[in-house]
Amino acid sequence: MALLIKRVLLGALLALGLGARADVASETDLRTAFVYNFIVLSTWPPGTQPVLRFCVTGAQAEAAAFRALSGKSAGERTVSVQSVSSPDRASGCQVLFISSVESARLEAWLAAAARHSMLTISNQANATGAMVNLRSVDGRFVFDVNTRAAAAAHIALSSQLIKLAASRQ
Amino acid sequence: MSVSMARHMPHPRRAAFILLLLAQGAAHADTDLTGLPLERLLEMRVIAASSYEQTAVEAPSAVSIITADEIRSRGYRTVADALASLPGLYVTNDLSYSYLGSRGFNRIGDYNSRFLLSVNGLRTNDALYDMAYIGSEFPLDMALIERIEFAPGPGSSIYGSNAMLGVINIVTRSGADLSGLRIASAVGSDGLRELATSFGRRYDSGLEVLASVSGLRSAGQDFHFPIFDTPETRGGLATGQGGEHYRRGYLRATYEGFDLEMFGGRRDKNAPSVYAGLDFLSNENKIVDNMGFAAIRYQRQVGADTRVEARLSTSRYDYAGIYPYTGGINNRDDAHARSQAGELRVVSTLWEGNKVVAGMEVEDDTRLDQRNADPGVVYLDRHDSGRHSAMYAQDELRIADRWLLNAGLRYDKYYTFGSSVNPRLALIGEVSPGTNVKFLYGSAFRAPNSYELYYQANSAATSPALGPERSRSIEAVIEQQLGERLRWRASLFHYRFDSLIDQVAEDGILVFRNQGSVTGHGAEFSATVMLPADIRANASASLEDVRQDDGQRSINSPRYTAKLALEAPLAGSGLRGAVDLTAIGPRLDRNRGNVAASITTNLVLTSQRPWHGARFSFALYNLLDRHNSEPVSDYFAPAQVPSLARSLRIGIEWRY
Repeated sequence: MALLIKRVLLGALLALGLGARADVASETDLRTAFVYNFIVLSTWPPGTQPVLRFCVTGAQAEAAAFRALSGKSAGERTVSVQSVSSPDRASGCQVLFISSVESARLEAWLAAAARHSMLTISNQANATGAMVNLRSVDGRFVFDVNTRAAAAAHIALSSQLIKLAASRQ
Repeated sequence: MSVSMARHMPHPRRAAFILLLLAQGAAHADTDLTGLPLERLLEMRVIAASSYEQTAVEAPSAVSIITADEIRSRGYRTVADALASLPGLYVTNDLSYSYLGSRGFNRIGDYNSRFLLSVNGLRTNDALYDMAYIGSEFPLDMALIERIEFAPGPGSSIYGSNAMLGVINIVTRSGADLSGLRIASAVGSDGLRELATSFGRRYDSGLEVLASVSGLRSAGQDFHFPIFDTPETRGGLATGQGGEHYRRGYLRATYEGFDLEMFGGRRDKNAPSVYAGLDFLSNENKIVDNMGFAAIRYQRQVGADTRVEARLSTSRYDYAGIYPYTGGINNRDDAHARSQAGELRVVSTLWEGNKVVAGMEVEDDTRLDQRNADPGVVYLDRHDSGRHSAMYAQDELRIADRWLLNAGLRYDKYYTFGSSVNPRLALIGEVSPGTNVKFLYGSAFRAPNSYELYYQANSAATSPALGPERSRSIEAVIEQQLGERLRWRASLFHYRFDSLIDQVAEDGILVFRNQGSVTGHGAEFSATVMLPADIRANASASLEDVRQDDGQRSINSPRYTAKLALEAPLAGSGLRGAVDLTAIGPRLDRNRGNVAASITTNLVLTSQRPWHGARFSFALYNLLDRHNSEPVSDYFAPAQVPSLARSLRIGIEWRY
């Protein structure tokens, strides 16, 4: 019997090795790639500093998930990733990623961001007041855009971003 | 009955070794997708639900989550199937209901009353027996579940009674998730036939609707019961054991801040023929569970930092048991419960560095009826009612940049026994990026239920002086995310349960008394590995030592549990394969006899891409057809019954 179990396990492991499909990715990798595209497809007002401070709300681990973006170029600017623990410390950011963990104080984050030219990205199940909201539907990501909020902060979202959005307002 | 299998058990260390092998490939497997355009990203499928896992990191408990994808790819048919895959949990099935144990605690004869089971936050334990219904009697189609969250340990500081061993919360899918019509059917061994249909949609007005009806019929399995192996009792052969049919309905509509949810169902079950004193040959032992829930919720944002949530709900539970005693007398047991409840809750982050949750709850049990009768003789006919209310508050306070203090307190008032106050304290720290520690302390209680207070059939007397059961637990947890794809957790726990309600004989009369105590401690380890190419492995092991005050081991308390689940796409076939192994260590039955260690293997194949619009699943439960034993209560003639034999299920589903 133990032999049989071993064979089943071995069979499963072999199957693991053989099966390879490209159209899947971990949530973290995929989310990072979406966020990078959002940054590349947005334009900040002239005079914005050459280093784009990309701030991630919550724990360090949340920011660490985006470390692949550190040093990447977005147009003529370079991305730098850091974590930010509370809304009153967000003033120096050019991009703010509000993680789903922070949904309780989403409004507070948005209010803090609204005072600056800051691209806000949320990760909520329902479309929210952030300029771009990333959410998953049936195991895939879709995103919503809020062009009014972006315009108010003098951030221009590219037509491609608006075209591919699941919902626009 | 089974022989000793202990020699062949997969050692937890071996499972850990396999995981390490898998992890070697995983640690540096970060994939950079940032070069891909948006169009391509929109087509890609997500393989993990790490946003929930991230929430779980800051929760005041070692939370585990089972996702909709796992439910489908691993073929879980009931909430019990899904929970059995989690660290330290073990399920006992007596062919009528499924009984859940955690961390070595599940006393035989208990009705899951030390777990709280909720659906979208709505309590579903009934008002009579306090039971968390996790088997096929629970009227929620598994295809409607988005995820199952399990928080082990005491949760009374926020959820009140029953949350002693853990809180199980089921989050259902939304209408937008389903988006269209779904028809699913299944056939299988033991005469299994299933049909389910659901419809979900989000309308432009913002109205979101989800409706579903489903039903199942199964003829059950044939068993040989050695203690009835006599020529007069068909040589111990019993047919159609555990056969059942059920039907269920679900409806949810959400619009702006309003949320209406209703669900319910009825299950008729052929209970096993081996209840003590029953006519083994009659095969007419039946159990009917019929329950329904309805809730209306309202949620509103008040200012930037505060949310108010209100809920009104009603629930009903109707039970009938028909017990054919030897001599041709059909004893009938009936119970009916009706409850109304209201809750008001405020969640606020108004104060910098604090997240405050405060609320109150009232529940009115307007009908608690219990009746037991033979034809012409009524043994019990009670009509009771109950009421309780509660207030609670919890603050999640950021005491330093990387440290959270979560403190909660709840006051419950019952009109039967008085009040209970339960605190919880959790210190949660991020000691380095990706590594978190939790130190948890909490107390919990369980109010005596109407069954324990008032059930008086035949030789049982009423026990109105009962007080609540109490527990206290401490736990230390470490969790680590290694690279992008390996996550592990280890936990050490200690608990003590006091004033446990036991049924005891006093002067020949069976009464319930607060008298049991147990002390338990142990360790749990679990790990999840996600490899490239959509391969996943979960493994866990737990070790427990649970003892009564006289130093003896507690009954139905396995020394260890071990679980392993492997999932992978099968090359070129468009299929996903999953192998699920569950091992439960040796434990004691009600007579302190040995229940041998058991191992159960399930194999599930699911199609990932539709074929002519249809998706398929193929499942073999108890793949190796192991004859495991299940320890059962005093209601049964034997102390152990065989577990279910191998069974096959083939499912097909269409979406429009």
